[in-house]
Amino acid sequence: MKRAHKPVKVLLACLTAAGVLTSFGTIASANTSAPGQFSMAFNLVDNGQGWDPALFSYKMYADGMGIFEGLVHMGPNGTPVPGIASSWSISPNGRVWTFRLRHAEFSNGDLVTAQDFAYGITRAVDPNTAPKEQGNSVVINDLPILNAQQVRLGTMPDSSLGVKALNSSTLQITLTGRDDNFLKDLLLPSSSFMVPVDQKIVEGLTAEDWTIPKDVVSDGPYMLQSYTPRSSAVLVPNPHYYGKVSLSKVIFHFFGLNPSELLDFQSGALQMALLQPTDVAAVENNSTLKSQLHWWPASSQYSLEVMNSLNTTLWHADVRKAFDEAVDKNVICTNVLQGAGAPAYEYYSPTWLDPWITKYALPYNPTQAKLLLAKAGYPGGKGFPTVVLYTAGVDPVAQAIQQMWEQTLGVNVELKSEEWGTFVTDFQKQLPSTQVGFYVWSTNAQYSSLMLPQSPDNWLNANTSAIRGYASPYGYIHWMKVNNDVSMNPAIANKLKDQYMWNSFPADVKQYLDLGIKAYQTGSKTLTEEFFGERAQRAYDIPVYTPEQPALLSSSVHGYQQDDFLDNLLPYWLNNITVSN
Amino acid sequence: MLKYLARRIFFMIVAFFAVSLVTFLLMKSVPGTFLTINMAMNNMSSAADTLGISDQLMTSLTQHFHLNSPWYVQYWFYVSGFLTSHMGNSFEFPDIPTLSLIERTFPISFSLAFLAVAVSSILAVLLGIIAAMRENTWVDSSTMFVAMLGTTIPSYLVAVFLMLIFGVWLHILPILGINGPQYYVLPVMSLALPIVSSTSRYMRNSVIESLHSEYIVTVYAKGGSAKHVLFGHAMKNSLLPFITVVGPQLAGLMMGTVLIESLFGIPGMGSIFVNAAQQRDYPLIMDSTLLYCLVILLMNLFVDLLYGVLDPRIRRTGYSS
Amino acid sequence: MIVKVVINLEIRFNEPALTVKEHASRRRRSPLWQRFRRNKLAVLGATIVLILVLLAIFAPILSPYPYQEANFGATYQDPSFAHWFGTDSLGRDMLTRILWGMRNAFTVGFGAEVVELTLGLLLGAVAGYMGGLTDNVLMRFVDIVYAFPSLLFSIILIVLLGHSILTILIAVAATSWVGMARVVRSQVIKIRQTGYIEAARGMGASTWTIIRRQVLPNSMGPIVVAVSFGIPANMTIEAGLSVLGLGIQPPTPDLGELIIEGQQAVFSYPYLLIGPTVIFALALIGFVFLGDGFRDIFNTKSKR
Repeated sequence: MKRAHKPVKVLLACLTAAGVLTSFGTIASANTSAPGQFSMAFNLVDNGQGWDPALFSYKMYADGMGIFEGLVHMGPNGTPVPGIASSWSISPNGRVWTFRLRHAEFSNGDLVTAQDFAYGITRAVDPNTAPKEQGNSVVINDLPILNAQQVRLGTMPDSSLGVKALNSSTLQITLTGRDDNFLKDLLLPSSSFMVPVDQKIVEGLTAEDWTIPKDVVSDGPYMLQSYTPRSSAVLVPNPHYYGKVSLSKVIFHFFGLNPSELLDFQSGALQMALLQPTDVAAVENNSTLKSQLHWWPASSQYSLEVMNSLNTTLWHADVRKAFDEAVDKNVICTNVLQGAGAPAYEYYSPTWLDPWITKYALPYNPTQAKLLLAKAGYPGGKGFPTVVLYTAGVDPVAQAIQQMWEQTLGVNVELKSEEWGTFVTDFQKQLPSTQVGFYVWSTNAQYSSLMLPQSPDNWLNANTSAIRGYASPYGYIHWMKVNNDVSMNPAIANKLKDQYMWNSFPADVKQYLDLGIKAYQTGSKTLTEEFFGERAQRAYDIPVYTPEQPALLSSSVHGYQQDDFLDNLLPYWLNNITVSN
Repeated sequence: MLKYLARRIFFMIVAFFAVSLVTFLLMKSVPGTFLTINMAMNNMSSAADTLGISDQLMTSLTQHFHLNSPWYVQYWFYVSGFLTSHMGNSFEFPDIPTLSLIERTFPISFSLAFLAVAVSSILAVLLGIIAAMRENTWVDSSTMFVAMLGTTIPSYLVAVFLMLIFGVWLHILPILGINGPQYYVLPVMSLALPIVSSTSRYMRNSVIESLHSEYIVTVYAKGGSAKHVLFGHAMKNSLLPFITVVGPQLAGLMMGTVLIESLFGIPGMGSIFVNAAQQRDYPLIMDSTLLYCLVILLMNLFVDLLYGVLDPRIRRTGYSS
Repeated sequence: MIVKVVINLEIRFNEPALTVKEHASRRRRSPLWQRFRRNKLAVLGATIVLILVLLAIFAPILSPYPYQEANFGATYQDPSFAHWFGTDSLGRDMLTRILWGMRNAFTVGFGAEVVELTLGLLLGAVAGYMGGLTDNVLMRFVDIVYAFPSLLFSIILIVLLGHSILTILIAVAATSWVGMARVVRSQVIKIRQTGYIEAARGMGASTWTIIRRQVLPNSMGPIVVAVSFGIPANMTIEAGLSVLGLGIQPPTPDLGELIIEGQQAVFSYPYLLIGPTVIFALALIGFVFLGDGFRDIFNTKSKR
């Protein structure tokens, strides 16, 4: 019995080995999926929070794609079209918007009323919702709703919020000022909280209930069928939806460490896959795959922020400019990232969104960089303190930058690639007098007018990581002490921190921030551009690239409109997508 | 035997507390806390931080998990919680109790590890016997060589190639998720193939040794056939030590499935655990470590008892290790 | 993957290494080296290991380029005369990075083995020799370390101590030394069962002399085998750690990290994977053959 199996076994082993070794040839592509079914990878980490649209979590974005529907949604042409609101009127001063709601039902058959809208929006703004569910509150700054900030701060009651149900089918929203782009703003990823929730159901839900699909009652075209934390979620059509539902099933896959989306796409498990830079060459060599390849820009700029240090050498603009001009952003984007990036010139301004930023951009100019450094007193990098560069994980771009600085400027650069938790602790520390440093940081940019400082406090708390290097060493020590004190009352702590920081900035930084506040108060586009342009010109940080995400989208999928404000380029509205076979 | 069992269980309790204490102390000494990491990650929500809300969250979490109390208070909080299975919620999944997280993921990782060890054991036994029966022939060398190739290629590489061949080229097996028995095939094979080598070589040597023992000559002299020799005697003697090899393999694999789980998109405990460590999710770290420790100790006990059952010598002379 | 290669020696129901019969046999008289030489695979293994170790030691001299030097004009180049193994995403020479990667991998592999050997010998010899309560306590301690999830321990150690070669070495050794202790202990027990120790005792030898003259030399066999299997096991663990992002601090090359980078790029630039994987596989194969060879020469029961 065994004799007969022996040669077969060995033969099989050899064949497999041979197959493996010759696997580097052309790669086939197969795309089989059930009709109307759409499967995609959700590359933002699943942080395990429930599907409550009033809490900030990455699933909030998924809610906005089609589980919960608000007043308007993204239309096929890229402009907002009526959603639950069938029509609207604007008051003459542009501040009061009145929406008339159509007849729509939740997934459990309950009618969607204006009161449900008011309730849902109010609870999202209410400061007590998040702590009750051990979550984080949604961002409300991007929508100019009357009294939203005050309600959130607790200085005004919920009833003063500028969102009122006039009757069960009319919703009135009062703004703080005229906003002609209000409907467009409702499509921003951070606006996912502007949706109705079934009040009588939600009032009885616990935090854990929001992770159980059958407890999540929603009004969008799709509803949750199943959810496995960190793994996958399945959406199916909402039987009570007022309109047509285009997809028979939507499957999200949540990815972690080493995504292998290229293989998943080829095997047909995904119809939309985000690629790594290293996958690009393989895809371009395969004609079937190449025809399904798209390059989608994202809106976060990978930048190097200045670390706080006892040594304030980096406070000199010329020194910072030298470091910026020594980085060859084109080479990084083309060679190191294989095209998966476009050069960035300012921390908040992706070039595709704000093309005017190129006016203020610093060029790649190694000769000039060397001159600037010499002018500042460090010819050839002699005498310059050690530069530390902090990043998390394996980061080829940081490695490239380290090489560029050492080769062009002659300075000594120590790269610290740390584990994420250690990085998060270390980037906030104050460096000793022998070192200056940078850390890798980025943020998702919005429309530039929404990112202006409204007041020192408001801007500082949200953007500390973009400015901490400019607090005086003494001021920063105080800031750190308050920051690490968990027993202090949060409101008091924040006030103190802002004071320490603001009061210790050098004059040019204060001037720059004041410019931003003026731009916000006057609403002037010129001043806005000047504000962001000044950051670029004075190199308050060193932006490197904006991701240009290579993505594979199956040719059988139509109507996928990627949201450029999200790094993982989720579609704006699932119901615009159709899958043919 | 009962005395032995009692001593072992007492020891297990001691070991359990020792491991939990060491884990806890180590965990607390690592830089970074969940809250600082969480706030940095939710950079987009930092506008919400402005208004002090996340700080409120911080305060409430601090109170709930006694983060400001002395270390022994915190330690006892976790351990007593685990023992009474009131383990509380994970930091990272604040709406989900760690118990239900573990309930969902542990069986998957365990079954992957178990199947992998089972498959590799069967393969190893087969290969080992074949090689031993044809000792020093080309069959011996080639089977052992092929088995060894597995060891030298890490499981994540094996996984990628298997995904390519069976998922993409031949398109006969799924490579994403865990929605049915066919989803188990590739992950299990990726885990099993690299460990076949050491066990098959071990099996081979062990069978060879048995085959050369003096008592085997007796069996042949009495008229027994090769098959009789093999199944009646050699294997029994070889299987016994084999069990002690398989035990640690299973233990090692349970945590070692992390990479395979992430490659195949499988919601197992390995990735949850690694993420917990990176996120400083104390409740999840403590609970999964304690669970793992418990499983190991139980498995060791089981193996030792099995040993006694299979080897009468041990039963007679007592269970001194 | 972090699975320890099992050291499978301590569970044997054989007689101790030296019986009267074998003392008299002709096999016993031929030197171990000659027996080793006759095993062709073992010799092959030894040669491979020797060559790779020499390459690793002389890596700084042999490398054509500095390992961290980026050359942005030459990124992702196929193997060529200028770059035998091609270049990576920063244009760094892969041959250099593989040589240095091997050097670091061997440093961790050998270094961790030295630590494991020391700890194992100490604990194992004491436990085996003393027996009784000391033995019991020490073995229970060993069992506790076994019950510890090694992955968590490594993660915590590395996060705590940083990713230099030394700390990774410690993290690897910290979880694997118990295997060695068990091997040593079982050997010592076996020796104790023979009459030698009693006899030496009777002649008035001190404990230390006994351990030095009788116990250790006679236990060498299985210990040598354990060492030659332990080194590749350490290298595998270290490679597994790099995959999780806990390997040696970039830009210092690390074989495990080169492999994982190669795997991510395997469909676009296969040469990035082939080089490091083949070298790593060769190293493991070499050690395995070597270990097998050692085991055969100390095993008096196989047909030779």
